[in-house]
Amino acid sequence: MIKYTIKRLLQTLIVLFGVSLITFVMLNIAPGDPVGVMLAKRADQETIDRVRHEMGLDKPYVEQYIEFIKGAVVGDFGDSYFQHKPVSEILAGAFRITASLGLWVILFSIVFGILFGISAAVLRGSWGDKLIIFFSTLGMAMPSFWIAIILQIVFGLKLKILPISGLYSMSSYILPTVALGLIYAASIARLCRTNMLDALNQDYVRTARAKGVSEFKIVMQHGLKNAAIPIITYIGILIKSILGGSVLVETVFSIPGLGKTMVDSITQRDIRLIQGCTIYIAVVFVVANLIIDLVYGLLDPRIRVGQEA
Amino acid sequence: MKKMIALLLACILTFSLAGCATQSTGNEAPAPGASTDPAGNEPSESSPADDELKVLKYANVYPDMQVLDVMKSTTTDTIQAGSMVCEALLDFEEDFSVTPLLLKEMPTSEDGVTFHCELKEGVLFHDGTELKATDVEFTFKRMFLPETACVNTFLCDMILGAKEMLDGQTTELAGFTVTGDYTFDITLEGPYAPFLSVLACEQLSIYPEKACTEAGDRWGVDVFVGTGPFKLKEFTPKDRLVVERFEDYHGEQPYLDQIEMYNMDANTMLLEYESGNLDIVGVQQDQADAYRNDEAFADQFVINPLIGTISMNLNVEMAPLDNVKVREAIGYAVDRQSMVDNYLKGNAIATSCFIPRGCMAFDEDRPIDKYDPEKAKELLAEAGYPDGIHIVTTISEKSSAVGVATVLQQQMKEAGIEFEIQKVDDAAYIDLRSNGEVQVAFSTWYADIVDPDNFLYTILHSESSPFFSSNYNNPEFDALLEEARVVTDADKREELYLEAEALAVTVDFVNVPLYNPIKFYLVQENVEGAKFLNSMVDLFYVTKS
Repeated sequence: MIKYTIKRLLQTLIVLFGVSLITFVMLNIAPGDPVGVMLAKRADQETIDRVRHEMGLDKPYVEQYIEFIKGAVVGDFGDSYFQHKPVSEILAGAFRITASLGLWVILFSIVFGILFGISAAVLRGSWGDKLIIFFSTLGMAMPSFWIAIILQIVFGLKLKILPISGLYSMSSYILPTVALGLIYAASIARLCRTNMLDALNQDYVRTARAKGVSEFKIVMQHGLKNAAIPIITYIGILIKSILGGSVLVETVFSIPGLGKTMVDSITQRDIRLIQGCTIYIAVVFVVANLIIDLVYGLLDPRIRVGQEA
Repeated sequence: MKKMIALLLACILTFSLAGCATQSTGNEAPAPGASTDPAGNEPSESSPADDELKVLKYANVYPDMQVLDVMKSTTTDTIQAGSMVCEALLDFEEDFSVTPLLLKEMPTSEDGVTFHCELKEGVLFHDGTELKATDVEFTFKRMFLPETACVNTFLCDMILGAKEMLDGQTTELAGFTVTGDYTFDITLEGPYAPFLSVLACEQLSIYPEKACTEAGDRWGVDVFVGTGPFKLKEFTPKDRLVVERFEDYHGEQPYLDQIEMYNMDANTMLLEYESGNLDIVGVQQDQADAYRNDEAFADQFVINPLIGTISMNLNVEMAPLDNVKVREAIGYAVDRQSMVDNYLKGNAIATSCFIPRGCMAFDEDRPIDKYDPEKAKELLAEAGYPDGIHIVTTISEKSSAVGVATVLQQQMKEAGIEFEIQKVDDAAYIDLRSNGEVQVAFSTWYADIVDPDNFLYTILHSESSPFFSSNYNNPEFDALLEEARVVTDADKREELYLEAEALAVTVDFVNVPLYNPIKFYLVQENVEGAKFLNSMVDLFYVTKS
């Protein structure tokens, strides 16, 4: 398994190199550059040339790219053209915010998703099941930024029990967590229900029942464990998308997270920040995929990786 | 296997707790509403003393509040943020006249070329050092040193030697002479009538030499020191700026202890405002009606006409706009009044002048052009386009004029003009526009300094017109502007500008003025003394009851 992990991490380097090269080429093909945006109001050609020179944007592309790679290897992506501070510092700040919120979202989705998923499976066909299905369908259908606004109006403006925006106190995490997590919780609930039902209909469950194993043990050990693989896959996707930040929800709640940072960096052509962001996202995806693969093995010995080694 | 799952869950929990820890150490300041939450359910993390502070909370859409150094950005957002901490030599009054701020009195000049200035004595920067003439010299030199990459040099590169410094030929500014601890002279290349207004621009805020040099790259990022009544406490780019009272301020002490300025989503800040968590908020044009007509908010609603013009620049080098008759026809094919009344719901003022209301040489006598599609068709036929024309506007998706363009598309159709709208992202738009490649470019221009020079010279003079895609080049027009720059007699200047503007807009038809925009704010009833100056807000002497 260790050998497998190392191999995967080495592949990561190739992926990161590819991502950075593609981003760099695309950015230089697309019209617009940071100096243009900066000097949008007014500039004569001399001013533009001068600022471009100071920022090193007039150097040959190859040279710019090599310089970028040299820095990136040691984690230095240079200074943002607009915020004038190191990209790594900006990303670290935004990451802290996105991750601290994201962990709550992940926890929220998993706990509620699985709880309701199991309940629905156990209560199959009853009113409880129908109610859970109804709300999970609703949860999946509502866009999160819309939920966010509704939550703000109800709990912030009308009931005045939770802060409307910002992330300054524990209670201010509640609304964004729910807004972001609802759709994931709903998806997990549905996924969990379907797979649980599948598992609970298996022969070995009948055998267990016949042997007189307690219903709780049947549900948790035979049902949930065997339903876990698709849920883990989904949680992997969830983690990746949460760590990428959510532009809309961040905007609505005024949270300076990664989603906004990335989108803004693109509209401004803040090339160094864009590079930093794409590398970050690539790392998140590769690492998350790796972790998921490893967890699969733990849950199901049949697909344990790296066994050939 | 159970163990593994338990371990996994334990990991998740630990991480999430770590997340909480980060959050409580990372963001100790109170939320906009934390200390003022009426329900009191908010476990505020601020210290008890914070609740007694007199704090003003102001929010607006300020996505470009990215850095505090006003030399690094041309946007209102940054300039507003920087002006919360730093001061320029002179100050704008509400009527846009200038008064001394860091200077003892207004600069004197015998020839309009050399200005003698004397600083107030005993003005302290927030770090305790005293403002000297050398700090002013340092600031001006810093502006023109190429490595600073200052983007606002266009405002003041008429100072003698500025261009040589920008070119890297010298590191000395020939037009700046320190004549004493508190006195200095500024010499220009030649007379430039609006120069005193330039000295009042926030973009020319004075920095302390010592602190700025020591801060290096961190200047304007987390170190920023000025002479203003408030000093920097906390700055998170694109999120918020907190300033606190500076006890040794050289002028009148403000009432407030702290001002917090937020960049927020337009809807979110209105919710916060309605809950009483914000004292002043900006209101976007499309939301203005809801509040203006709501009795509960009517008294809190502030209307602030901007010194600015939204117009279309017609690219004289791109057919069919190279034909003056075609350009004239476009003027008849737009219904400004209907646009303002119906689409903008009265939240703007229709105009047929490029120079905005409230600025010198605004032609009050010129009527709003009538919408006359038939006349437009006739003109097009005369120009050799009896079947109408097809023109394209390239517009930034971020632009406030996107909706306006759509309305114009409908209006122009009546006149046989097919008006195609090409939406691109902001960076691409700027790139195309500044290369003179946009056929019809929307110009949304607000005055940096309230002077016609800031409109006519900056946008339509042949030196700068390609940057705005009009490519206008009329030597007669240029000559009028160049003359108006050096004339010091105000009446004579006004005459020249009236003539020049009429030439560009009513003879050459290179610009189609549409309307003067208005900004809106909501101010809580217990808040008084906020000054709204064009697109800037002065919050220093606000009081709360």
